[in-house]
Amino acid sequence: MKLAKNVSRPAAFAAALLVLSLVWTLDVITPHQLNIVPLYLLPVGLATWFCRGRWGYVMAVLCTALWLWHDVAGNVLSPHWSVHTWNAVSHLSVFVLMAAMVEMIERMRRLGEQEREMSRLKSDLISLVSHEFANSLTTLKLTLTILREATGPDAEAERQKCYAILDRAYAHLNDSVTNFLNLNRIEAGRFVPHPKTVHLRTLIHSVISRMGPAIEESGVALRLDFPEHSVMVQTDPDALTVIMSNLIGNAFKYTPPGGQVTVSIKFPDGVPFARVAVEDTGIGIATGDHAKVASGFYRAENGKSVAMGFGVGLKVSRDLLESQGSSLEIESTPGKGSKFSFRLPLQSAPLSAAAQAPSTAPPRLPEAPLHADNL
Amino acid sequence: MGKTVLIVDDDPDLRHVLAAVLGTVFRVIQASGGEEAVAFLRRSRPDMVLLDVTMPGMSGLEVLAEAKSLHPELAVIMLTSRQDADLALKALNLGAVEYVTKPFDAAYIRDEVARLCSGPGPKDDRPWRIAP
Repeated sequence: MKLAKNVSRPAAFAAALLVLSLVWTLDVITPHQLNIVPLYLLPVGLATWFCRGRWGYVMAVLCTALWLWHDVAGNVLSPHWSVHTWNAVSHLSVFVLMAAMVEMIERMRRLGEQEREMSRLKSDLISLVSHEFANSLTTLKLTLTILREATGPDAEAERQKCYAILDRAYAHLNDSVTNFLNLNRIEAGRFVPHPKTVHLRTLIHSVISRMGPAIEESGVALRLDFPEHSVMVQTDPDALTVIMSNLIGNAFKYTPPGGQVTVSIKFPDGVPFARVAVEDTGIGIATGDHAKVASGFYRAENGKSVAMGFGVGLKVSRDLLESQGSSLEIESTPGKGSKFSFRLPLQSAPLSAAAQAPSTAPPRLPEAPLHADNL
Repeated sequence: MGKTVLIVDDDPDLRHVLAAVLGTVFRVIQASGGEEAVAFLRRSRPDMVLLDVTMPGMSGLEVLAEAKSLHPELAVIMLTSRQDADLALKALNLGAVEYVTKPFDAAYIRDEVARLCSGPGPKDDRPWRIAP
């Protein structure tokens, strides 16, 4: 069934046309008494399966037309026109019925594929989250032991270290729980992508304002590089919220104080897409680890995992993007920073205006650390 | 004191607290990943390795194989959050002496390291132990 994915629609339709021409030739060269009509179902089925519904119906009409042409031109007995009409209508209904059935089966196949993808995503996430939990719980347990046992002149310093570790373990568990709840939303079917028209800037602003305190405490500057006009994209708003909070959250987590995180919306020339990017001046990821980061935690089954800290959130983001036909792209240099970007289909922003707007002199929003109230 | 334990885990906080817990009894060396651990093992032979299974880069099982080829008699305890029987058997087949699932507590890991550091004791019938 993977074939359906690998064949391009024009090529598949051309192949269906070729089959049709063979069937028609066979129809023409064989005696009229020989019934060739069922063979016309072949190109109809092919076109529907590989090119989706309406192309199947186009093929059904084409088959009927060709068959009728031969029937009228080649029938020496020349029956009454009503006979031709009746035959044409009956053939057309059978061909259309064929297209409708094949379309239904193909749709069910696609639904099944989506279901399998969702359940794979779910079980991946469960193992990811349990891994994060087990690590944090071990850290908590051992830290508590150290706190209890700490004595001597260095005890106070050790305790302070332990408090910081407990804080981090708490934050990590909190993130894990949040992503686990997202998993539940996926399970509840709310993350089967429901694309809607989304006001991209507003959505990103609301994500950032929710993260307000964490951003303020980080000592990292946030820069927004957005076009002045509004940007409407076609995507699932819930999924995009999760993706943006994971990417922006990661950027802040892995950028040391004094650094900068830039969230940008750009318009690559000539394509009706917006490219959203989250760029930081943080620790970066070694080139060899990019693929690991992108491929998820246990996917490869060879024990390789993502770079530290880029666990569940990045994987959820990547899977959510892929479930909507997009992909997460990673550019990163260790010690210099990372850039995570993806594209979203534009809804209504006129491409020409969009393409001119930001690339040369992008309108900048605040360069200073951003607070919730200046959004 | 005197016995050297190499801790290999990508989580710096976990590594730090594990080192602090074991540091009262053993000499502890930390490695943040498989490559660093292997580099250390090429130079030196600790008495014991505590090795995380799931790490970026080289996985724990790869490090285990490399460690056993460098020092066939080296005692390695695998640390993992995955209660995966297949993985446990794989690690034991590769020569790990013990398999500990996270979360574990300080007393348990101290006892285990002390027991296994004191040399090859009576052979345990069970294939691996689950932490209390």
